[in-house]
Amino acid sequence: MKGPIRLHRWVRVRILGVAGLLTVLFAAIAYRAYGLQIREADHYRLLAQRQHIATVEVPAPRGVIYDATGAELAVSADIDSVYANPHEIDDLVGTAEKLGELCGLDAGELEARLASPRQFVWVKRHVGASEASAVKAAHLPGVYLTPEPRRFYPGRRLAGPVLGFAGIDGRGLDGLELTMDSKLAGKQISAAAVRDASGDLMLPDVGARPRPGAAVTLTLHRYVQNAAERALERAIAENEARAGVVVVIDVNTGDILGLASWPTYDPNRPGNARAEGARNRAVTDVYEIGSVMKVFTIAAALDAGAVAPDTAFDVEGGRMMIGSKQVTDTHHDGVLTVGGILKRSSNVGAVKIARRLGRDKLHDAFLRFGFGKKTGIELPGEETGLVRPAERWGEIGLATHAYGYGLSVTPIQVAAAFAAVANGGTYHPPRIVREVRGDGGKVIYRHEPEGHRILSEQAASEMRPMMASVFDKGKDGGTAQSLVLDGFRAGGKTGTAHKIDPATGRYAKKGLYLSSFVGFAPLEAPRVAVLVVIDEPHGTAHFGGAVAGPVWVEVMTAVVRYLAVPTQKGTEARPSAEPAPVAIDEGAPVEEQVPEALTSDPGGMPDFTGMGVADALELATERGIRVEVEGSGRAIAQFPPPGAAGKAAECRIVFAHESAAPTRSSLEP
Amino acid sequence: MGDEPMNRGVAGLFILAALLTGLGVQHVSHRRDHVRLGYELSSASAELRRVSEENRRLRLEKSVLTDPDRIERLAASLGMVRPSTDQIRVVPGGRP
Repeated sequence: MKGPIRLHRWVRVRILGVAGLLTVLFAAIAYRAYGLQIREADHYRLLAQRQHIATVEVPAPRGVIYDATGAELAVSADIDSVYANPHEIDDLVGTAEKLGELCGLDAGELEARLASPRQFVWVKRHVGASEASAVKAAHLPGVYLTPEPRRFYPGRRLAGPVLGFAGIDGRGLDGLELTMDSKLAGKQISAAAVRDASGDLMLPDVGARPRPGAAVTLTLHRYVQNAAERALERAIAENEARAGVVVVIDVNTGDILGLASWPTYDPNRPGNARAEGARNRAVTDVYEIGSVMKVFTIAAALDAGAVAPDTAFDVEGGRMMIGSKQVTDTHHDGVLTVGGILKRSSNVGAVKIARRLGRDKLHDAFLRFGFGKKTGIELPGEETGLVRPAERWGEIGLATHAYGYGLSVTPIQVAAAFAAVANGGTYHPPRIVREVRGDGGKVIYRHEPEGHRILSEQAASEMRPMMASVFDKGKDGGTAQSLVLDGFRAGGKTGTAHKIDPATGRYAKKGLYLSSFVGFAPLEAPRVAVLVVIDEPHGTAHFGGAVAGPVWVEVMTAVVRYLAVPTQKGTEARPSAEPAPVAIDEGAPVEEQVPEALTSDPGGMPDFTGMGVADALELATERGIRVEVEGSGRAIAQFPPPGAAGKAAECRIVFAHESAAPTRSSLEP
Repeated sequence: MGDEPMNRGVAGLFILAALLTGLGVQHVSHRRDHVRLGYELSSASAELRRVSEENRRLRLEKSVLTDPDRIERLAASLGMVRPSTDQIRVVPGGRP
């Protein structure tokens, strides 16, 4: 067995020396490690975070504005903006010249901007795709592109003054963009992320999410809006008018289906729109609207029991003196009933009705109809209009109020009040925003104003035939006798008001008119009311029936078609071809001579075979049968079959063209 | 006999070293997965933003293409005219 190894003394000294040295070195390392990891940890942690942790701005897109059918009216999308870091630019002059050329900017002004001591300077925001590509391709040091959200209005001028617009920083500046800004604007967040050595992001803070802007759904239908704007634009051009408004309102809910205003603007390029008079005149402008107000005077008198529809008044040949003032009519009638006064738009008659009603009751009725106060619609700049206190009216004031002078109203007030008369007496405050949905589709705002009765049902129902008589034809016809609403009966009222000449401060005798027409359809079951106001027509015509009336017909026709309101028999301006009379042959049994359609049992399923789609639908509608149409051409099969017993509620009809062979599946029930 | 405790000590050290090495490898592996998932999350977030933006652009384009005014102009250029009232049949239950 070997004994323990004996080291040379010097070797032991050296080993101990090295061990001591290593111990000292490790102690120094441990000390430094302690300093880095524990004593000065917070300081170095902060430095590391500054180097690796990047703060990323996570943008929240502005909410979309939809029409009632879900079509986008205002959308935000990212487009490029050009910015520069002046610290990274060596050739200031060359960069400024090149950028100026690419972006269409003044090189001198750009050079001054790039000389900034800051590290970030906008060069041009929201550049086009070709500009962005050109800047990218130029590879200019210190010049970068970054996506920025921009508001787009795909309908261009469609509903421009209603939608308003958002500024370059995404804040609403006009219209619904302004009133709904707090809901449309999302909440951007700053999220921490780790940036690696190459600058790429990793480990984003996925827990933090921006709050996107809420989606606003309107009651507007873009088809109706488009029809209203086109009709208004045409009328403005034809009549050389200064301005105009069209309001389309659902009489049963107060929903605004269309709201056109002229002059208008494209929110994509608002420019100096407001300065040029482009605003939402339906709420921002007040008018002495004239004879349209007779509807409310007469409705109030009927409601109060002051008159009945057949109460007769001597309208004195259309002239009447009140003190030193003369009230005149367009026509020279002798005696008119209340209905006749509305039909012929007699000012004298309206004054006499108002006198019988009394000043205070007429004043209260106007307030009840919503005049003199805001409707509360979600649009900026709404005016209240003015209904002066009754005690300040005087005899002349009572007279002029009766036919629409001496008080100022907004078009939206008139449309809402008229809708109440049309629907049987219930006032629904107008609304244009149906609902607002936040993140995840949760409804965060829904405006469903309660309707309230402002007119007895009896008075409202008495008003309908009177307003329908405005369309009566002939020598003693109504003031809208030139208007024909093809396929529907309607009620309405014309208005032609003199405006005050700003030069004289008095009502202009000629040249300054406000032409208007308000009406609803269908007469028996009103769905929609349309108000048209044409301001200062300078063409050959100025009467409401001639200037605003045609716009009303065009818009109402488009709306009732769009809403699929069934036409009323016997009201077509161009009636469809009548069926040829059936010649009865006395020698044959009667059953063989009468067309099958007339002899079939109305309770059983009719035979659609051989009919075109239109005829089949008409017959089905008459029988109250819901039809599922398949294909086009002539009906070749139907389920249930013709003559099926019982009162079937539905029927599937297969149509095919003679040349087309129907598929097997389509011929199976 | 005298080498046994030493062998046990060496073996113990070896096991300890292996254990520590294993833990270290596992830790590094977890860190690597962590970083990889971080990059994946980052690119997934970027992809989400891209497709959301693409979706917005497509909806915008759809809205432009279905603009009633545009449709009407196109229809007119194809020789289409509005139907007269007696040519229209309302389908019961139909919605605009």
